[in-house]
Amino acid sequence: MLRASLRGIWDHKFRTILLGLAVVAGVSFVSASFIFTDTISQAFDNVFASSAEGLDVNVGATQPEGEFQLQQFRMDASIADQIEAFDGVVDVYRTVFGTIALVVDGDVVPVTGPPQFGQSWTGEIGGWMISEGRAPSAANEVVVDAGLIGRPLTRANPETPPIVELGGTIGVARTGAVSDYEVVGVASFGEEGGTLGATFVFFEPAQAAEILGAVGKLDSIDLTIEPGLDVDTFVMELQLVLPDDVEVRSSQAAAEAQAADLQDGLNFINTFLLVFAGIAVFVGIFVVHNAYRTVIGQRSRELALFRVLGSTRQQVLRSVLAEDSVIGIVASILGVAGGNVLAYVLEGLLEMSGGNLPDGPLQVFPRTVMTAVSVGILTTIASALIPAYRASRISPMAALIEVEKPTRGFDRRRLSSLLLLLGGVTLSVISVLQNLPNPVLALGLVAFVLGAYFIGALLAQPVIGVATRPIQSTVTGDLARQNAQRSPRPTAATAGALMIGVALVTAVAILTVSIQETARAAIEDALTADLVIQQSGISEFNLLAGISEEIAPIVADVDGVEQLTALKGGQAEIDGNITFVAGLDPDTFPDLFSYEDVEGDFANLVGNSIAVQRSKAEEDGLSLGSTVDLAFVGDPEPFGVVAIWDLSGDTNDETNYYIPRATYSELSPAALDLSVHVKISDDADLDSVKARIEVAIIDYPTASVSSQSDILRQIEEQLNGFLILIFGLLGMSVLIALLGVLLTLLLSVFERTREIGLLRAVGMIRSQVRSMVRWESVIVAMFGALLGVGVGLFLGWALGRVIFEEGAVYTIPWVYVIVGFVSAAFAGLIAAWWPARRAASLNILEAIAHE
Amino acid sequence: MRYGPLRQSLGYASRSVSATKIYGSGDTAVTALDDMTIEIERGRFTAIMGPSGSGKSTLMHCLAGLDVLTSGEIYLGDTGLRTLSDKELTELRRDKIGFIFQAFNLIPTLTAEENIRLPMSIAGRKGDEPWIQQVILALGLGDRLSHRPNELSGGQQQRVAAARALSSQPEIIFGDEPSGNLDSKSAAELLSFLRRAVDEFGQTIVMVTHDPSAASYADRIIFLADGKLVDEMLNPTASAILDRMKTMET
Repeated sequence: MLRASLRGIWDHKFRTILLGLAVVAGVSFVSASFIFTDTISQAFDNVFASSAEGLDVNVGATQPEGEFQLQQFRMDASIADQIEAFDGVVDVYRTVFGTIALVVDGDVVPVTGPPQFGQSWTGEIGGWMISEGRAPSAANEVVVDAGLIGRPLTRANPETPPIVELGGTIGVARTGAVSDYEVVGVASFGEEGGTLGATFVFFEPAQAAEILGAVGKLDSIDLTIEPGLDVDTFVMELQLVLPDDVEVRSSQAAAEAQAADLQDGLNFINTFLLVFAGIAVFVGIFVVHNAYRTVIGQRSRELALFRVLGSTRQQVLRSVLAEDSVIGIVASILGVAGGNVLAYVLEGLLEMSGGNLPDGPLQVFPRTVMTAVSVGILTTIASALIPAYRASRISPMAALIEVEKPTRGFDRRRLSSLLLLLGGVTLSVISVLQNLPNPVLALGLVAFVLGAYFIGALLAQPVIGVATRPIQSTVTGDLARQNAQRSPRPTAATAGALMIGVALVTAVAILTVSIQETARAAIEDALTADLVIQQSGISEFNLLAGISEEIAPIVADVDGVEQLTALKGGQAEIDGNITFVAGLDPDTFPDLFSYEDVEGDFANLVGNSIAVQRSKAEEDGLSLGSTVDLAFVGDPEPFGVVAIWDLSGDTNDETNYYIPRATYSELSPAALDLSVHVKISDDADLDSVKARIEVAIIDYPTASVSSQSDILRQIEEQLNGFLILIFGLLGMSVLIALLGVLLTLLLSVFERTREIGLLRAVGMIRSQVRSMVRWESVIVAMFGALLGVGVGLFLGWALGRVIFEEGAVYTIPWVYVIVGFVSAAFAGLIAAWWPARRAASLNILEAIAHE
Repeated sequence: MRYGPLRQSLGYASRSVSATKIYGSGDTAVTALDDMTIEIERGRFTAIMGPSGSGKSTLMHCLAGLDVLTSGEIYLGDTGLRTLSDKELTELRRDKIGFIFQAFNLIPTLTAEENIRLPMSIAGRKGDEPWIQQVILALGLGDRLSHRPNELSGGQQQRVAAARALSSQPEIIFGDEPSGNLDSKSAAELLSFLRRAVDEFGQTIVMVTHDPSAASYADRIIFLADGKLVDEMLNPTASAILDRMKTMET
């Protein structure tokens, strides 16, 4: 029988290939997720391994716990002198670093991805080598890393973009004016791409301290110690003589700690990718299972014949599973190969959405291959198990008499499907309203999706019957409709696979559009400022996060500016917790920010006083007159609560605490302004005021002026990048679902060979046959899309509970929904192309004689 | 006397001229039709008989435009089929030819009535309503119109097929063992109806069969062997056919 199984695979090559493809696609995704993250992880490891090269001990300022990185904690330069005197120390390398803005030919290099660092040149240590030129020896000389050389850095003049070259100049700014430096050398770090996209400019040490605002300070001290000394013991001894706010580690440990931080991020990416891979595999199981059921239905006579000839049930079961395993194994191996290709695609996708990743040879670990192959084989076996079991139950009599295939028999399921759906909806709604934990919500949603899928099988007949009214007047449309309705289970299973993809796409679209719409409303409502000046391209890595305090007075004098207020902001410790605190000017703030339900008064913010956002105040049990202990660097001081305000739906504003700007400056003298908010006169033109401000602050290239619509556009760009990424990842599932449509059609064309032959004989021309198959495909695809949108509307609401709770407004993305429907119809047409051709090219005589 | 001089003057509904059909090539080539020239008269019931492999099915398929000749020509009325494209052939079948196959004549998703009207709906035409009603009545299908094929008996299914073949008023109807799967009573009903269609409506029918009693309903029998026309019989009876077949086999 095994031979018969293998021959079966061969005889139905196309069917086998298609079945296999659905598995290949799922396995590719799984292996690509691993390959991708392993590759990046390997690249990171290499980078951090080289950063500890030739060094023994690292000393740095203790970094406080907390998510905010808005200011840099540095140590006193005297620490280095203290270390130099310590027994066993050989060399001491003093480093200051910080983020800088680069200016090439007058254009600021945008910072949206990896950071741009400025650093003191301390020699060829920590993996850095001068590959060309020499080290900086004068204040106006710099060495730049190889990543900056010879590639376009700004979007200006795409034809002849400004580039940085050895011997040329590069502009550097921090908060103030741009200074030009001569590029005297090129440095490289480890292998190519070793800096993970970050760029470095090295200054002569005194100049570095000057431009980075670190005179008398140090960020990092690296040591070599006498050979023969134990590094760990040395670290402990050194730590004992140094103050508490300085941390001593072995260079190895410092590198590993940095690597571990990034590794956490990577694990998140891996999990994220695997979730989407899991969805793709899940959809793949639907597709393969459905195809198997149809194939086994079609083969029932053949299998029954085996039973007549004496095969046992086990033999039938084994033969079906053997055929299946062969497909599973071959598809898995191809899937791992496909995963390599897909890993590149994933990298491209992530880069498109704003990430920047190191290059390196693709890493395929045995774990990846084993996982992928097991997923592939288990997927195929799981898909085929029930159909194979059914096959083994086929009565030998089925070979001898024509057994009418039951087309109905759904009544039994009707109730349970409905209960599942309603149960799922109820559980999800309660979870959302009562704020039950995520697993409960997940359970409800899974029940809902499965319920929707089963209900889909029941709805297929009536819905398709009604929805296809317009095409029922044509014979091809009507026959297509009847074919789609004839066997609701394969139709619903095929549509169901598509439903999952479409539902997730819809849900994600709802979330992003809701966020966008809410942000738009919030910006229009809450911000009375017409223009905002802040640092261009603030990124998570960018410690600069501010603009010069000189900007606000300059802007105040610009023609058309009626009122402005400047905010400071950064990390502080309140009652022992590290959090974000902003400093406001109580005289001008109320003119530009409108908060509702203010208890107390912002005008009372003078001296050591604080305003607290209401939900935060409730959480911490604060009311007017309470005190909190607040500290930036020094000792905590008591601050009295003088105002409590409501967020009023402004989800963009994550500020929970305001203190007076003057107090902020006193306690944190180095702090820059975070933003300047400008209100223009009623008769002034927004664009011309904006242009005038830009001219006025031209000496501060890192400050950029944006209007509300600019800010909205930035938010939308960010969200769109995210949307592209998610759609790309879900695309795989949709693709597999379409493969399912193709498979089902092909099988149904095969099943209806005689029918098609008859239609051709009695006068249906080829184009009518093609159109019939295409219509069927479009009907199934649109039905899937319809279910998917319905399911997605609910999924989006439930999954977005966090954002909706915070005030986001549930918005249905009609444009996406309509585009989705049209795409589903087109996708159906494309999936039908080949089956339609096959159907139309059937030889009439052979088709009529077909068993 | 069913075969009268009046009908003879009506001319040929279909004919083949030096029709040759060879399957395969080289050593495995099989000559199914060997330079065959025959005429099918209009308004008459013709049966084609012959042993397996005699070429009777091939002849019918070629006459009906389902298969194409290797050489020679087929005419339907005055239209030569050789130069027609697939689309023209298909439309010719749709408008000028009716079919009754041995089995699987009906589209399972369509009702009996929808099956009967299928050629007209494929063509996007209404059809001659009084005529269709007359056919349905004659075949006794009035109370079965809304049934699906799987709700009909074998005899009823073949009658629906016959009604479909007639409903578009084709120039010629081809039957491929139309009664082959039926019990003798149903077979007799179907064949009597075909007979009536010829006698009362002047329909031209060509039927391939190996069953002498089925063939006895015909006006004329063409006997084939090895791709050649070997004999003809007019106004046959079942026993005469049986005798003739016996001599052919020896």
